This record gives sequence, C-alpha cells and structure tokens, in this order.
Amino acid sequence: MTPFGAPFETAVIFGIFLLVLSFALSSRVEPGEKSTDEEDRPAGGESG
Amino acid sequence: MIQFDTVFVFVLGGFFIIVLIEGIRSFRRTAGDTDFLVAGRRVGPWIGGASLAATQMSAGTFVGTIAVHYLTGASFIWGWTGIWLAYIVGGLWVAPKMRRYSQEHGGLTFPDFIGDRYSSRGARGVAAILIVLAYIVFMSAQYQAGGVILETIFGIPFVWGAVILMVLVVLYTVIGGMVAVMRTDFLQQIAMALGAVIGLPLLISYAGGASNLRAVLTDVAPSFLSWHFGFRDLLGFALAFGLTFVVAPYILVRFYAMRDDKTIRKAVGIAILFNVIIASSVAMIGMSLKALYPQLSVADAASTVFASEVLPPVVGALVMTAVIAAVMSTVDSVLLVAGPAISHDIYYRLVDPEADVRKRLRINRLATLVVGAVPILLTLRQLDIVQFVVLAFAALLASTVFIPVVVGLYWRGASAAGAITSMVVGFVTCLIWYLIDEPFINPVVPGVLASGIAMYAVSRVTQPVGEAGLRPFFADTGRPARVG
Repeated sequence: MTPFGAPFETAVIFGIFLLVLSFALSSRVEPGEKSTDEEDRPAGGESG
Repeated sequence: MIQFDTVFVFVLGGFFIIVLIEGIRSFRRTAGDTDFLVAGRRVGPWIGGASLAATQMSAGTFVGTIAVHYLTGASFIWGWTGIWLAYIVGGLWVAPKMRRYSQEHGGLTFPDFIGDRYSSRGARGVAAILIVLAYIVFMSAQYQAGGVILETIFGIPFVWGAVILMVLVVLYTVIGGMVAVMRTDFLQQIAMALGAVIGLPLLISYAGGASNLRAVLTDVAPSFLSWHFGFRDLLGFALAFGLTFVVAPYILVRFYAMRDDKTIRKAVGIAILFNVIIASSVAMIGMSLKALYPQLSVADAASTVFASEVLPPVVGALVMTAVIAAVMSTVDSVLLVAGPAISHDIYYRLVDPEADVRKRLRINRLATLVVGAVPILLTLRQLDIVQFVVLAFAALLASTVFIPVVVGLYWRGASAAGAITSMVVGFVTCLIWYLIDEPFINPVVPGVLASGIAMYAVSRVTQPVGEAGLRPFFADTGRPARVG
C-alpha cells in the first residue's frame, strides 16, 4: 500500500498490465512479416 | 553555498549544447526530404519509443499535470489510461497501415495520407490548413510555459525566455530535420525520466517518509486519496487524450519513420514504459508538494518550487531541465508537422510539383522556420493556463482528424466530400461545445460523434474514391467499394 490512495494504485496496476500486454504483443510475428531484432541504427544517410 | 539558478544555468546550458551538436550531426545525414521528414525510415524501437513518449509529454505534463495533482489529488492519473490504451490500439490497428502506405507509396506527411486516401487536393488542403492553425496555438502555449519557467528562475522577462527556447528548437529542427528531432527526443526523454525518478525519493524523504506523508495528506486534504474526479470526468479526459493520440499527426509521422511493424510494436511497449514511470512520478510529486506546501497561490509554480526549494541544486536543475526538455521535444515534433504542411503539402503538392529535391528541402527548412517563429506573436498575448490549452487542443485535434483517419483506413466507402465535411464539422462542433461551457461531457465526444455522422451521411450520397486510389490502403483491391 502506498501513501497515495486507491485511484493512484489501481491506475499504476492497470498501466503495468498494459505494459506487459504490449511487450507480449510485440514479440508476436504477423504472417508474412520478417523478424527483425536488430538494435537501433542511426537514422538517415550512408551510415544509417 | 551553491545557488540553484547558477547550477541550472550550467546544466541547462550543457543540455542545449548537446542538443545542438546532435542537430548539426544530423545535418550530414539529411540528404533529401525523405531524410528531413521521416528520418530515412530507418528508426529502431528504442529511439522510436522514446520519441513517441517525449513528443506526447509536453509542458502540460511537468507544469500542468503536477499542478492538477497538487490541486485535486490522485484520481487525475486515470486520464493517462486513455493515452496508454491509445498506444496499443494505434500500434496494432493504425500505425502498421500508415507505415506500409508511407513506405510503399511514398507518403511523407499527414496531409499526404489524407490527400492520397481520398484522392482529393481539397481534402489535402483542408487538412494542411487546420493542422497549421491548431498547432500554432499549441506551440504558443509551449513557448509560454518555457518562458514562464525561465522568468520564474532567472527573473528575465518571460518573452525573452520564450524567444530563447524558440530560437534553439527551430535551429536544430531546421538544420537536422526528423533525424535530429528523433535523436534529441531520445535524450530529452531520458532527461525527463531521470529528473522524475531521481527527484521523487528525495521529495518523499524531505516530506518525512511515506507513512508520514500519508498521515499529512489525510489531514491536509482527505479527498486527495479518493476519487476527486468522477467517472464521467475521467472518461472525458481519457477520451480527449486517447482519441487524439491514436491519430495525432505528430505521432503518425513517427510511425512513418520506423523500419517495420515489429519495430512499431516494440516502440509502443517502450513508450508505455516511459509513460507509466513518468505519469506515476508526476502524480506522486504533485501530491507530496501539497503535503509540504498546502497553500501555494499559483499551482503551476509547484514544479518550480519542487526543483528550486526541495531538491539539492544539481538534482533540481536536472528536474527543471527535464521540464524544458518536455517543451522542446513537443515543439520540435510539431514543427515537423506544421512546417511541411505548408512546404510539402501546399507548396510542393498543390503549387509547384516540378520543384527538385534541393529546392524542396530548402522550402521545407524555410517553412519550418516561419511556423516556428509565428507562435511567439500569440505567446505575447499569454493564452489560458497551459494544461487547459493542451486539453482543449487535444479535443479539437481528435474531433478534426480521428474520423478521417480511422474510418478512411477501414471503410472503403469513405469519400473525399465526406472527409472534408467530417473535418470541418468535427472542428466546429468541438469549438462550439467549448463556447457553451462544455455541458455534460468533454467536447471531444460530441466533436467526434458529429464528425462521424457527417462522414457517413456525406459519403453515402457522394462519389466514392476509385479502386486505383484505394489500392494503397486496402489489401483486397479487387472488390468494389461498398457505398450503397
């Protein structure tokens, strides 16, 4: 229990649930989609 | 003893220099308008996700939202849930279609999408004009917030603070385009998260620890820990933020810049991570400040009080730099939507389609410069309190563009006349709802409903878009449009 009350606690729990859901969805590979697990590349130009 | 404002000058100055260097580095990577507007479509999940979150968080977050929590307590945090859900809905059902359209058919801007989907120069022009008008008002509020912060801390006239911010943001955006904006967004989002996460434990400790804080809050403001805002209010906030966020042009162009659908889904998760951390931190900061300073006369000053009086100078300077970063990351993103709406959508697509790449890039930079400078004129007038300008702007934008985007992606029968009518009717309905003091529900609800009804009614009785025009947006191009 936090010092900030039920509205705060329930919203944070809901946010964590959506966070877990979004990461679960992000690991899904759609039909016909290439799997890309590369790190961020610098955007733009030849070095991109 | 080291003064807070002295430390803040060094921390903020250092941050400005890093951001400018990033802008100049990005200049070398910006060869044409595809680089300038969509960062060469090579952005990965971390920079993409941080950029989504940084763009969505504006001055409203670190000044206005802290102030609302200071005044009303915990329940306003439920307004954020509309944004979190919008990330998921947008990431699954809107962004992938927009990205594929952008990559396969060369769309670079939001009015590009409207113009191509509805095969209509008129729809493109209306979308470009409404976006420029709405965003100029929004930017003036951002400059105002930055100006007030610099005025409060340094005692300089707030107009000078606003002008300093404007010059810096316009400079790196004009030089480095989307590459610079997304890379600096990443830095700015890190600054925001660090500012909130490092500052919060110090604040709670300063307030005597968690248990003492609860006791003080219960004593000072008992309603703080329960539902100050009721279901209808919170639903209105969540809808205003969420419906806007699913289709906001400055968000959609970030999806254009990501390299594939999986990157979009990962970026959405990363953006929600940043959002939950900062939303909860901002709520706790606002409520803790109420316990410490129950009688602040100006609630918008709560974040400045927090940084300058509660925290050690270095941490306080970091927090205030985070607030300035929130302003900058929003303004730079808006610039790259509003500027190109003039240069790309009106000048190049409607006035001079023969312009070569170098000329288009030059015009893009010039338009971005002009659109960045004009809002300062409105800033001089100091419109409403920042948080309410942001909320009003969100409702207005959702009422204007939600239906043309979402219905346009999923209903083949949506026509050009329907899209133009829905944009104008949504915009006007939302505006009227404000003018009659928002009876019953947030203006976003009647705005989007009226926009939807206008789209359906007008599309049913007007010429639908031809099959060739629909092909980029619907996989099953063979079957006829259902309009009857």
